[in-house]
Amino acid sequence: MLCKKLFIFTLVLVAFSSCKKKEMPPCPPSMESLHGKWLVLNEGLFQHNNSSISQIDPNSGIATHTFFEVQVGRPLGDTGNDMKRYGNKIYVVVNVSSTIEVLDAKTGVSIQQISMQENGQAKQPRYIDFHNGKAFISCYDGFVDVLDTVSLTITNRIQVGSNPDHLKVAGNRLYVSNSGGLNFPNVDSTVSVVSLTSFKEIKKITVGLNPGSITVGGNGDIYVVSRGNFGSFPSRMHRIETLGDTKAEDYPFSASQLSEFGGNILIFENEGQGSLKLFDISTNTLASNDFLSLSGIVTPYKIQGNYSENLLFVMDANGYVNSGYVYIFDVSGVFIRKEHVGLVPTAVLVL
Amino acid sequence: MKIFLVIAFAGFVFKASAQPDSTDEVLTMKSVNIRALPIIYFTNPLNAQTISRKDIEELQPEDVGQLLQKFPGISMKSYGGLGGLKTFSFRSLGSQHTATVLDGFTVLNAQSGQLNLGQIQTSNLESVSIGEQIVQVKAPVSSLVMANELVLRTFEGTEHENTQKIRSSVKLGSFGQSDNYLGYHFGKKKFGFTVHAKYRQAQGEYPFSLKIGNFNYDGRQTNNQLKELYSGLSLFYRPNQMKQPIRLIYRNSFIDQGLPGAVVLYNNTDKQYLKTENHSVSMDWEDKWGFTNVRYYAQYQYNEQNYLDSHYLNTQGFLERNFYQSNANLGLRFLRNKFGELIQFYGGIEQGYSFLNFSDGSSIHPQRWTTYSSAGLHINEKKYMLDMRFGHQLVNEIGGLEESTRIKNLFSPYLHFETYEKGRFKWKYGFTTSTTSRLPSFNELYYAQVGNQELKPEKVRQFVLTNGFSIINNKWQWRNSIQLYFNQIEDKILSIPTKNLFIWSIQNVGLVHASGLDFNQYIKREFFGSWWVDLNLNYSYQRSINRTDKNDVNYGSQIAYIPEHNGNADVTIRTKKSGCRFSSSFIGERYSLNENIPSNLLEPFVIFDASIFHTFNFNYKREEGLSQKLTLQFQVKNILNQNYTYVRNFVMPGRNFLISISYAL
Repeated sequence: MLCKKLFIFTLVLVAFSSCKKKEMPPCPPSMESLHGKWLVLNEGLFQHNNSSISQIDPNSGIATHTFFEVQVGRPLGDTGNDMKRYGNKIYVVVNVSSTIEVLDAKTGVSIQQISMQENGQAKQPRYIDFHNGKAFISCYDGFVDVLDTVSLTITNRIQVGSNPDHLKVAGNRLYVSNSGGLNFPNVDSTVSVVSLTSFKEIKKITVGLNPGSITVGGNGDIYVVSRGNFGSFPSRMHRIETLGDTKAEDYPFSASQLSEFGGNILIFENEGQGSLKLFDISTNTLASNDFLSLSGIVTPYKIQGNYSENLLFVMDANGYVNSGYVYIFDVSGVFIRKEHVGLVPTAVLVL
Repeated sequence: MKIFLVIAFAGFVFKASAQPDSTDEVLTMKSVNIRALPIIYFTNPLNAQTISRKDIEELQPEDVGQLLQKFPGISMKSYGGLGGLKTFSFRSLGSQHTATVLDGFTVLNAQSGQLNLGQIQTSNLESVSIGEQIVQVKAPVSSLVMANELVLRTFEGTEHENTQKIRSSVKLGSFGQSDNYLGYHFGKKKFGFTVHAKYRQAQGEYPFSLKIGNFNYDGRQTNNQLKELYSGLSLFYRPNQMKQPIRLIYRNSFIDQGLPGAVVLYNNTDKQYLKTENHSVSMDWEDKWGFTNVRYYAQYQYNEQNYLDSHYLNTQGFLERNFYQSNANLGLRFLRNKFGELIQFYGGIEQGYSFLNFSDGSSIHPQRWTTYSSAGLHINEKKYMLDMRFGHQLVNEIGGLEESTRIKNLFSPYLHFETYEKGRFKWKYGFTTSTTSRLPSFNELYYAQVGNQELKPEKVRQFVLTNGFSIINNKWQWRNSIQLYFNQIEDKILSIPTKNLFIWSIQNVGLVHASGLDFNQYIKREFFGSWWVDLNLNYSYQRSINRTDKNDVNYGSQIAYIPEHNGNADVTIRTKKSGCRFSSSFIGERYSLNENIPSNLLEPFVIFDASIFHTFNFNYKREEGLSQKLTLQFQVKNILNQNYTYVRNFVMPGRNFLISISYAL
């Protein structure tokens, strides 16, 4: 009797182990046009492989958070850092997975995944910008990779400073923030100037500790943030005159991220509750210390101005470990609505 | 909550519950090993759960981490691979709330506050016990102020009765694993010694299939190699047969391992390595002053770790960090009997010291002086037992950039009551309540940017109700237990991002209410005259709820990595010489982050293992009571070749095999 009971018990255990939830078949990719839609890149968390892209239809307000998985048929990877459109393609930079995902800008289906590895080592791409048929990708291994946007192959590697972070094309030059973040506390403090003719670094400009966000003002000058050492050296904004590629000014206010905004610059500061300032290029002063109130936003993380579309996005990381929100304003700062997105939203693409 | 109530109610109504009667284990140990009062002797055995050597041999666990999963209430976090990091929580309390007591000495780690269970071996283990405040009569005072205790007893830490005793094993397994252990004891009337050594290595690579949504990512887990050497010498001197021997135990270990890390999609280039070196010297002796037993003890531990990331993208092209840690303690425990053993006064005092040196160029060299003291009263009536105690920690912390000194006073009251019943049907009831605190570790206080010197200790209030029941006769053993508990954890220490995603900091955030039920059932039955069947069944239900802030999105959510349901079942069929064991473990759904949304869910899994074994007995110097035993064992782990993870993206191995030959004299 006991043997029989044990036998039944064992059978129950085996049967239990073979019970699995019914899996939903994967959805086929949609061929519907993305025109007029917004895509939000969510970083996810380090080593969680949960970076994602949310798709928002601004007319209907419908949002889906598995856009990439559905359109491509596999996960995006670990720590998506940047997403931009150039021509008919969307480029998604995935930092820890060390890939560039190239998608069709009309439908979002995959064109190619580019592995960013060199001699068995991940290059850890961070940000991307474009010029004259080439994509420039900052890689944490100390290089900017040049990607031909037609053949989708890396054609050049340009050596810059340590741990290059943000980058921006201005005229025929590329400006790269060398953060040196992985040498903390001995961080870098330079911006590399790269000729887009010779694809070589031609100069290094010292701005301040731990350079990060970088943008071009309406006057053609470069504005860059140095993030300091998160202690005795505070973050600051600096201006580089592109005429002679020299640092022209240090501004006496703190800044975390810059966004070009109709020729002026929005300055986001994430200390404490966070603040959003507006810098007037023509007067070279702060036009507003509190352009937009960020109260009620749990963890303001990134901002992104889209002046031509009359949109301003504020991304809420919601404590960094919870799914986030995108707050949408018009360019005068009037709140439109908020959208629930994925984990740690970091970039918005208006298509 | 409904499920919780139903199960709790059922447990009492059907009386199918009782604590595994660890008194039996204790008695066994007494009769075999000890001439005077044993080191391992629980004051409240009702709360202790024990796995003995016989079960350890049959289970062939890779390490103590794998063994602990056999206890109800344990939630394991395994980061994969042999020697890989394994930590646990017991009833939602992190392992920093558990004092690990090895052969009567507290194992200290002020740097991380917890031990890597993947680096605690099992070849030499005699028994493992865990429970809340199970307190051994002579345990170090530092273990009396902790919420839980993990008690390990080893071959080399125990004085054996026989003149000579040998324990050895050779194991060969999948992933290039080989494991060789030898322990030898020699003893005369007054003097004895034990030497032991163990060498294990593994190449460690295994294929995996990681499921993310509807996508299966196939790969091979690499950089998982391991080489480790453990050895030591123990000396015993017994000046008087009625006393415990004076013990001097030296142990060391050298571990060189790759850290396979989490699987990162499309990128398997990470290469990180860890070298660990440990040395410890422990010494104790006992004296008797009238009706008072006094145990004096002292211990010094040294730990060195070298971490290397060979693909780090800084200017050097690699990242190397060294950590040097010293821990020492010196103390005495006393136990005074009054009216036979009806009333016992006990207590003690201990001074502990910890020091850590980071090699990252920082000038932070934290030191901690802790004075532990405790006094208690134990009443052993015929029908009940009452144990009450008061503990105190005076902590003097020196560290930080300004070498500032901080003093903390922590108090730990404790009360335990349980009933006894004699006769064939043994019912027991018990109630325990305690308040304890765990100190922030040096890493939490000082490490690089994440450390926070303003951290407060994490406080725990525990309430445990126990019901136990056992029937033992010649052909049957049936033991049940059910424990209902409620733990309140205040000032929970968590690592959270603060300034941005890359700058995390350790903070006191949160209030957690953990309530649950642990259920154990053990049945042993003889049939056909010489056949025995053992059935051991454990089930745990845990609701570990965030009660920090009503406005927080995660208020009321289950805490990450705590499954509501887990359990295990083992069936063993054995004759005098042979047997087979079928073993299973179930971990239910749990979340990888505190936000309880589907994308954070980790799938449940059931793992099955099976082993067959045969023992050859040879007589050897029968007149001296010596015998030889040779055991052959073959084991298949993860029979169904399940793909599973304890921690998100840290893949575990599929089906694997182990052959072992053990020899004992």
